[in-house]
Amino acid sequence: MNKHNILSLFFLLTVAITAKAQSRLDTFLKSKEYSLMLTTEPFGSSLGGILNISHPFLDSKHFEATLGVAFQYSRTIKTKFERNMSSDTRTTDCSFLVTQDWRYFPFRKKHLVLEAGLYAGFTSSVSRGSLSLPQYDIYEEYHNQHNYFNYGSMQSLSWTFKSRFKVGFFSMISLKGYLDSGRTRPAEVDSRFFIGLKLSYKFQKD
Amino acid sequence: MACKKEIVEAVPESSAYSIHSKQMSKQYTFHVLLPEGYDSSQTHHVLILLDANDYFVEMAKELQSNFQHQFVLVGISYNDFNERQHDFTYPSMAEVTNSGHANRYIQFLGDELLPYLQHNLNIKTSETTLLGHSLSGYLASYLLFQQDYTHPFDNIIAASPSLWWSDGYIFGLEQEFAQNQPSLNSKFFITMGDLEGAMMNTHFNAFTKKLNTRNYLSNTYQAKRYKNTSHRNSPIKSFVDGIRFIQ
Repeated sequence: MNKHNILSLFFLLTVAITAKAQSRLDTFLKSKEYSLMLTTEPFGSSLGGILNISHPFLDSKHFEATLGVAFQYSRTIKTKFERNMSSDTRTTDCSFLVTQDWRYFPFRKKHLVLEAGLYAGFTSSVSRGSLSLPQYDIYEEYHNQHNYFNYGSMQSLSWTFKSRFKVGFFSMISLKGYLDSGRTRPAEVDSRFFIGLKLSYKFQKD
Repeated sequence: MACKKEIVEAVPESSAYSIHSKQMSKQYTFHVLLPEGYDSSQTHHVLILLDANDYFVEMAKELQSNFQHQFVLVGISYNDFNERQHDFTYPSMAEVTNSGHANRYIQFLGDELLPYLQHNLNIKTSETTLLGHSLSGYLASYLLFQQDYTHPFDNIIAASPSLWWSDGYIFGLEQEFAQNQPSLNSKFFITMGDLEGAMMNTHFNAFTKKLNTRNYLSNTYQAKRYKNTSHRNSPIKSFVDGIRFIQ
């Protein structure tokens, strides 16, 4: 076998392996459900989003259960009281989470779905900004990063369209504030309470 | 946030009272916890705690556990949460309806509440301390540095005070105080949590830096920053640390 044939064979094998891997990847990705939650805080002022990719491990007439991973990001909106603060003043939260979700379909057609689940992972909360009060000769900068193990629960109420699309309302509350030592402090910086809109899509129909 | 009934149930050793304030033209509920072994013929150190709806129960537990026999705790409740913006602030801010009445409130504390405790409840005072958090922490700080009214408090504990109020008005107030007063007439303990955001922390840092340059301070002042502490986590630990500082 000459050099040309070896190279051709190698090329064909590479294409075949890549195609097989691509096919497996496609199958893998299409077996998941993709959810995007657009969030705000009822006891704060922030906007953000959560991308959750989940895989079902239980699928029955009225119940489903999924396991997934999520990426969450939110950023505070500057309030009217922060007028002496710089334009980049904000607190941003960034989380990587493992999620576990239980779904209940009360009706046979599986349009209405109630979901509740838990999450756990890592959150990094960064506050930054600077104050300028020239009338008092004051200029002050601030930066603080707080990384912590975060855990809590998520809930949603959604409606399914064409077995693939879901739209609903969503809430997510960190339980860290409740379960840490010290007083309960829900909806604080390290125990945020998010609400919002949930949009989901899955490639495979039920 | 606890109502009167919940506070009385949670701290059965305490008593609830009502006082009508002519200054504020309204009624306030306040709760009193007497120390163990209280003797009405003796004088006592009285702690005046603002925002009692939120903190009276926990402070009562702290005093009963860690400061037995030492203090009379008087917690003043607000009737409505939005009332705090009316009572605890000066000057008024256009963005906040009906704000800016702290001058009258501090006169209510000194001219109405404290005399009521002495004359109606026979609580004799050897020393008084004012404790406030957030907007009531701002009030406590404002009371200390305003010069229009001679306040009666020996000690001020301001937990996470809202020093940003009205474009940092308190910075100008303190500046005037520093120009006119040879000494800080009360002990002052001020705190902030590092998770309270950039606005709260920058104002706190700037304010305490100013205080550190003043000649009127000796051993009468301490500023403390708490790690991993958010706004609603700061008050009780601030009050407890403040009590230890003033002793």
